[in-house]
Amino acid sequence: MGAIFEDVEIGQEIPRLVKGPITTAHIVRWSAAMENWHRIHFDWHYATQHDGLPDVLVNGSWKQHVMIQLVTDWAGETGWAWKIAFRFRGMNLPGETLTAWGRVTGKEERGRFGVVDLEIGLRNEQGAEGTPGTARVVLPRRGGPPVPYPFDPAVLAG
Amino acid sequence: MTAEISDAEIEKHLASLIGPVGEPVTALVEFGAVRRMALAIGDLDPIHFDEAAARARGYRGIVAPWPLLWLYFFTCTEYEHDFPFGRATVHGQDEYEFHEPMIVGDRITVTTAITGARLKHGRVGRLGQVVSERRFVNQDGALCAVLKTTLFRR
Amino acid sequence: MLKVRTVEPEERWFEDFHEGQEFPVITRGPMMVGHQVRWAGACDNYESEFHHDEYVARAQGLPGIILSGPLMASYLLTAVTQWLGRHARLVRFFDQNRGPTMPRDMAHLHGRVRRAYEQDGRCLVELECWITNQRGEVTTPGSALAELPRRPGGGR
Repeated sequence: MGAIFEDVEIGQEIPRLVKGPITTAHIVRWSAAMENWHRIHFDWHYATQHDGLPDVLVNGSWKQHVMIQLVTDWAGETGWAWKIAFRFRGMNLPGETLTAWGRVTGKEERGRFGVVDLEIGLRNEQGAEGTPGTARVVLPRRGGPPVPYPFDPAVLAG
Repeated sequence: MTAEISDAEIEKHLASLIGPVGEPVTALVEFGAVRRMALAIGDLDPIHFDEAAARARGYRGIVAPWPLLWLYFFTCTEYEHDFPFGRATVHGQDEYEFHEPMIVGDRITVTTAITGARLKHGRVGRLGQVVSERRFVNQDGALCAVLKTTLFRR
Repeated sequence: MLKVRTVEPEERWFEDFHEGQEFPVITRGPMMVGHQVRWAGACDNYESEFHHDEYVARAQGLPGIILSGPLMASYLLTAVTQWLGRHARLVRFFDQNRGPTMPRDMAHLHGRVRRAYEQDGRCLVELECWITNQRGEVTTPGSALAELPRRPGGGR
């Protein structure tokens, strides 16, 4: 089950998702899975000496996927993570533990469903916000049908 | 702590390792995996990328480069062993025996056994030697390859 | 996926090989962490962290990242298939991880025919092969046995 529109309150925080500590094995595995061979993610000499970074970097696309997981987990089987956007503001390094968080900023009834806006982010242990963003989630109403899959925004009209 | 254990105890432990390891595990030979491995080792022979090219060379389909055995080694078999002595385990050598090519779409069953384990005394002290053998058989029962891996413990 | 620019191995026959024949040296490198990461991805294996983590490698008393032995052996095996041409079928391959290959090292792949012979109606080529680094040290000695067809129609 996922969230129900009527239960959602503006200002409410959704369950957090904690990942880490991130190791180079996580980073290398992600690089290989994406077939993204940018050396700042695995070549320590290149990252630190050529690019002047403090260490190899956690992949931005991985961070995005952690936040997508945060939102899809909350939307659950009956909801739909419709839109999600991020900005890369800070870098993250091996050894960090990252907490994905989200807070409800708006809600609106749309036909037989509800649309909820979230502010989302990914903080390290020091509280530094590296990947601020927003998400829009479609949720079922209490006693109503689940959001149909495949999702079609037209269902929000009726 | 490791200094306490006697040669006899080590030999007994090593002898106990001999035999099958785990259950046979089956994996599908995927095109993406074949492509990824061929690119990783720089094998640009078209038989690893293009079905028509592979058939023109007499193969049933896209051919896996033999180093793809390592994907199944790591994902289908237990490859780490506990040793009651020594500090480091080194991957010493490998012996490959090749038979029927592995083709995209094949289902390869991997069976693992420890076939040899003994204690030697080298110049720098005790040296354990463990040989494991993995047999790769396809869906028709044809043997594709045998990979014998020797680990050294010192 | 983007099309890979493939290279068909040369057409060679059993008659093309003789004892003592040296193959052209194939040079790979400088080897970089990226090669190791691609290999780890192809093997879906990230267990030995000294293969991809500079800090872990040094903490374990190594001078730095060490590239995987089976990766280097796989380069050597691939060189063998290139030398022997498109008709060869590998029968056996052997390699030893004798010395480390580290990022920025070169890998020169060498091969030499030990024997070209017929046995039970099969035409076989046995060769020794090895990898040297930029200091000339042999990091990966090996050997291989392959079966080849005779040149159709005979003769050279």
